[in-house]
Amino acid sequence: MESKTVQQQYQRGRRLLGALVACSWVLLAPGLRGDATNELKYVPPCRALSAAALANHLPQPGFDAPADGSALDPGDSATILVTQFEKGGHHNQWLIYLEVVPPTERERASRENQPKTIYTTFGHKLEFASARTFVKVRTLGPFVEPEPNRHPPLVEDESARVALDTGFLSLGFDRAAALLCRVHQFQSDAKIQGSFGAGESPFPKAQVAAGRQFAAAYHITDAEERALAGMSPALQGYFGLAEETPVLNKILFKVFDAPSVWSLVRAGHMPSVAIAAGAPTPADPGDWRLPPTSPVFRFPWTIAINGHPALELGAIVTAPRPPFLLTGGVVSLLAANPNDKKKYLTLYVVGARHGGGAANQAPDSPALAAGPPEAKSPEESGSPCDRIVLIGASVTHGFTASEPFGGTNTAHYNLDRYFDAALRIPHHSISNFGNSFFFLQADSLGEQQIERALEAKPTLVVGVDFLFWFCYGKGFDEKARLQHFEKGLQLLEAIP
Amino acid sequence: MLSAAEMPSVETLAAANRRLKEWVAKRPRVQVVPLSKFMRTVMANQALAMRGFVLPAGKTRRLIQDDKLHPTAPGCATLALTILDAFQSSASGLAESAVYWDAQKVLSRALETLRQEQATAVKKENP
Repeated sequence: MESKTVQQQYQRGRRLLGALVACSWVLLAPGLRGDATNELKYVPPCRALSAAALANHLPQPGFDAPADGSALDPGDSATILVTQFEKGGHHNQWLIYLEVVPPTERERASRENQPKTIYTTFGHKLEFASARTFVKVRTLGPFVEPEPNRHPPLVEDESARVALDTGFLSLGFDRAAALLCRVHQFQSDAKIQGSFGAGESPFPKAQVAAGRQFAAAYHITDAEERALAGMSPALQGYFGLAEETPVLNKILFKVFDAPSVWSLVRAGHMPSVAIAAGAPTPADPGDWRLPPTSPVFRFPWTIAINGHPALELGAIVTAPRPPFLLTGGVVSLLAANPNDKKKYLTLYVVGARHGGGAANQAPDSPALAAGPPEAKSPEESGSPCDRIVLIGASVTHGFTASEPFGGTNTAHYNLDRYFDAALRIPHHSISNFGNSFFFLQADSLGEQQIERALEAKPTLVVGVDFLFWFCYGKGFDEKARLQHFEKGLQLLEAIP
Repeated sequence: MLSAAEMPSVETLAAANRRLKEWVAKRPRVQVVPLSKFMRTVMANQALAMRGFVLPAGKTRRLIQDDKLHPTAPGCATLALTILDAFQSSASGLAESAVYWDAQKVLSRALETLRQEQATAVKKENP
């Protein structure tokens, strides 16, 4: 019975998302200033989720440098942390892992999507090509922090193959955001009013005339018009992922404020859906762990159904270059119910990796979080600091609560940097084998670190927090803590 | 921030420290750095002195992040020097002159290296 209800909800959700992407049109509305991303609340992954990610061998969180082009390769992946907030301050978390896979014969032979035709209020008809990329989607969750009077939900592990429209996703939102920033600035200075609209049928002559005046006033080029109109298929590509992912579909529609929409959908009526884009603002790439030259914008949207706001969206967008193409360049998204701000969800891309060698050379991987790659001196200097190896947990690896999965700022806290900076004498690169997830598996990670340390033939081993999680941590009584501490000392015995 | 369930009792901590001392006593090549003293000083925002360099009272709390557990970047510099101080003092064979003992200088050098690394990464991305 339960599964039937869930299935019905999923089917209803798919129908509404289908309606959303079919009817959507984008309205450039510089007057819309609501920005849900200002309230973007980051909740770090709970321990159970981090443990599941580790146990399931999901790729290390972090971003590979974006590549040129608009093609994804098998193995390219994105990891998304989804947090659904409920009244009372509770929240549930899921981890969604997307990985590009080669198409099967059947998938290859299946029907291609049609190109999308968009009419604009500037009087043009634009066509956008579709392109499919097959993706394996794995969803783990829900996870919750343990609470005294709350039973933890059953954690499900679901996998599916979906076809993402990477033709549409490649249009992205960053170029439209850059233009809207300019328009917004221009509007503030020149007090010029107007809007841009895009839809699936031609606009009335009067609206086109007003649109052309608007385009002339803001000096909007054809390429910029295409970038604006491209937001509609790009959103279609983005929502296509939600449409095909049962968990995401289900929780998105818990947030949607659309009781009347349900009745319309049930009755078989197509609701009128409009998407209004607000004024984007530039964001600091460093805050989002992106390369300093990446274009990054905060971008608000409102989805209205039958004229009533049904969902507020606040996105952080960057260029949709691989591997970020998997999410259309959307780095994070907040979706809030406009009439009940306590009901919202956040999606954070915590990992975006290339499938080739790059994925195995994660820049923030603990094993590689060492000092500069070149040795200061390849010669053996005979100094006791010639080959320093660091082992241990998060203090050694480097940790900041704002980046629990690591990132650009975390690099400021890698302890090896400071040893390297403190030494005036030639020495080899300092190896930092510290791991911020040490608290999850101190025994096995400790053993691995000791093995790696010995392989490095160190002259000095520093384990400033190596023993910490052999004494602290959950699940031990006082006697067991001391036994566990003994285990930590035994591991250290291997170092001569 | 650690929860109460993750913390050992005061007695267990004392027992673990006793056991550590005993273990180290049989291993002359191992040097223990008294981190609890470092943490107490910093959390109380008291002055911290090392090899002639003094961080005055009121300026040391910022060495630890708000989670009261992890060091900030200046804290990382001071922690590295605290460890090297203990190591150099233990007849390790490391010359005193082999280390920059000024935590501010160490911090600047580390951040400059990081800045260069990030600039190189950008250059590789956009040759």
